[in-house]
Amino acid sequence: MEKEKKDTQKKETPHRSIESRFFGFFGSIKVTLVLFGLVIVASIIGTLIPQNESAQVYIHQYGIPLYQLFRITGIIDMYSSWWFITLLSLLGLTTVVCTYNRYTVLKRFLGAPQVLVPEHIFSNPKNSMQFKTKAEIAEFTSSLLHTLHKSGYQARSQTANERMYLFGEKGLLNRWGNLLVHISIVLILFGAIVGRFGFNYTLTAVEGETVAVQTPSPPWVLSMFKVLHPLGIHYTPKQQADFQFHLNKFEVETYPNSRQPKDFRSFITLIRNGQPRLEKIIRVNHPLTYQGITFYQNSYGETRTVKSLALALRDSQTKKELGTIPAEIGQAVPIPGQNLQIKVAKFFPDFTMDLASKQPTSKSDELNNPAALIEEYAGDKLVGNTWIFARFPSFHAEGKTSYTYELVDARFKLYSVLQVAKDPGVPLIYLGFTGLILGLLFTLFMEHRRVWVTMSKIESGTLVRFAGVSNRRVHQMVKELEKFRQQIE
Amino acid sequence: MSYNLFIISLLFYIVASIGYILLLVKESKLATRTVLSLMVVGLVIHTIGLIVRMIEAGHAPFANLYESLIFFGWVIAFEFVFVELFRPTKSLGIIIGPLTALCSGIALMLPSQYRAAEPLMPALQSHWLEVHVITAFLSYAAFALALGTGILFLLQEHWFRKGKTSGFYSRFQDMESLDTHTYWLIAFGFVLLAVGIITGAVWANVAWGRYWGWDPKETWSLITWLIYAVYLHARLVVGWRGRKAAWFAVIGFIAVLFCYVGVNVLLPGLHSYGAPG
Repeated sequence: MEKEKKDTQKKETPHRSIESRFFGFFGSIKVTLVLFGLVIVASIIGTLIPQNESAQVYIHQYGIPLYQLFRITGIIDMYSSWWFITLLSLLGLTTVVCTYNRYTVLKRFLGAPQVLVPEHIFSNPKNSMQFKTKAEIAEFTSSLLHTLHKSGYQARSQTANERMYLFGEKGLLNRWGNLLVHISIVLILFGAIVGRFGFNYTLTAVEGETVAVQTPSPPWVLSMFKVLHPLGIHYTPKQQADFQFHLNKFEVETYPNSRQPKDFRSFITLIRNGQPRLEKIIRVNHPLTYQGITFYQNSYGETRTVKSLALALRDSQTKKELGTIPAEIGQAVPIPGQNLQIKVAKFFPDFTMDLASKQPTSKSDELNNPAALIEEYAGDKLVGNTWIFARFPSFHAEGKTSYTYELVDARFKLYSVLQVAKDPGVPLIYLGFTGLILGLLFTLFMEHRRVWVTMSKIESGTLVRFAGVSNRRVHQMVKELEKFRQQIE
Repeated sequence: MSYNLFIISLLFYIVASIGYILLLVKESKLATRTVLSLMVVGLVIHTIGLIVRMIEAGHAPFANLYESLIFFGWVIAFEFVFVELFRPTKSLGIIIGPLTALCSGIALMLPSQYRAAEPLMPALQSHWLEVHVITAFLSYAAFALALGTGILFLLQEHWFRKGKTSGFYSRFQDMESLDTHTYWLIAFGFVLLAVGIITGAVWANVAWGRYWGWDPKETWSLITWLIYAVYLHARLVVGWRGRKAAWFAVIGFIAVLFCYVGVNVLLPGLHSYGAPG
């Protein structure tokens, strides 16, 4: 976006002045610092005023007039508001311009090394010195080159006008790092824009349910394609995945002696063309990615539908207690240690007799009068059945059974809440993150240092002049030069 | 058990703080080394305490307000000792000693239900927890140290302008060195905070499917980062030094405080510590 703006300005006007004014403004550090300040202040406002809340919340806290003001100015959804996005884009624009400037600077340093330099380089007392040495030029030069190499400098020498010139440089990585930092920020902002072409929504599935997986395009993408309809191009990106999501089971594990969840997980199968394609367990911090779509475990909840019962068994004849076994409604469960299976054939949370049909039914979904029809099987043969009522444990109806049952607990079907997302910008973002850290390390902890030396022959030996610059610890340069002198002598 | 170790380390920090203040009365190389050793001993005991707490709780020691304050004090002491060993200052201890003691002190004064070890909720069960929290805290501590050098600079500068330079006033580190320390500490903290924010974003993407949601914690960490970015640009590009830079170290730390504690305690959201469960 920003690059286009720069290019069109170049094409529209042959004037140098508008281009240089553009670069001057957006490359100016003052403008950048002001933009930083505005983004900082705006961001703070967005943390102090609640975001994306209902109208009642704002009216309750701020009253109606302020709520209207917040609504009109977009403060309610501040970080997506046009003006905040504009601020970020302007900051991005200054970063792009700065990147270009950093690149130009780097190019200058990578170009022809400045071995032959004018005299005034050596005339600033703050970063230069001169002294006489008894050594001859050649001898001094080789010692100097050795010292420079030991200190990590790359050095080049040249003779001109009967003088020897030397140029040493180190820490150019600092300049690369600076460029990398700014490119990375642009990359991150660009990745954020690209991400807007993806989708992100919440999916809820009840145990045993199969749901379709939507792949919604953002509204403006759909509008874009609608524009092409008159031209005969009727393409729309797929709004639904070609696979379905089936939740087999949902488990919650709590910490021992606590109701705090230790883990909760979805046991899922992905189905395509009627065939199961993938079975996986999705947990928090362990998402599943399939065909570029990622499923994240968010949370869960309980439905009002009973999934399984806990039944306490007692031998009908010996009256011996056998313990409690769980039984999912409609599924046969073997009684441990016996050749018998039981099945919860029917379950009514709020049992009542329908007077018209004379059939048992449930008045409501509330567990007001839980009742279950338990069937006993030996193999495939039904050998006994009985009705049990949670509120009337001593009441037994219908046939004889080997065991008496008591309804002690009911488990509800759980539903899993997942986040479904596709963000095409993430690879760019991650690349930007990596570049940012590397670039920061290079630019903050390395220095770009340059040293110039010129030597001329005099009666008693050689006259040596040193000069040095650094773009970080400026004052240390003289000490460095002094160190060189001492090391050679 | 860890509680007692923390109390003992706190005592060492308090004694060291008193020592640093006394050093302002009379300078002595031996005394300086002794006081630093007191800080080191406190740090060692503090470290053992943290390890014990980790074993007691079954997870890394920064899952609630109590643990994180104890950990924060530890990181500050750790970085302080590091700085004193490699680029010693004459007087940073008079601010950092009490600051370390304050963190431990506040933590240990919290009511017992705040100190109870809680098992980690599923969202926090990830190795990203350690990486993200440790880098963030290392950066906070660096900014805390920069606050110290910044305050000392402002004090020195104030006295210098009033002509007070001898005796008591000379027992403080010189201004130029403080200015340089502030820069290096902020540069160090800046990179670490970038890593902290980035690891937070990557973890958020793994856990929740979005790397940035402008929630108060995320936003305030970005605000803090931007404030120090202004500092770095002002210093490296415009050439700000001295007083303006020192004030930035102070303002920046106020943002750090709000980011670390303000958000968790005052604002609701994903990072809320709030009241104990």
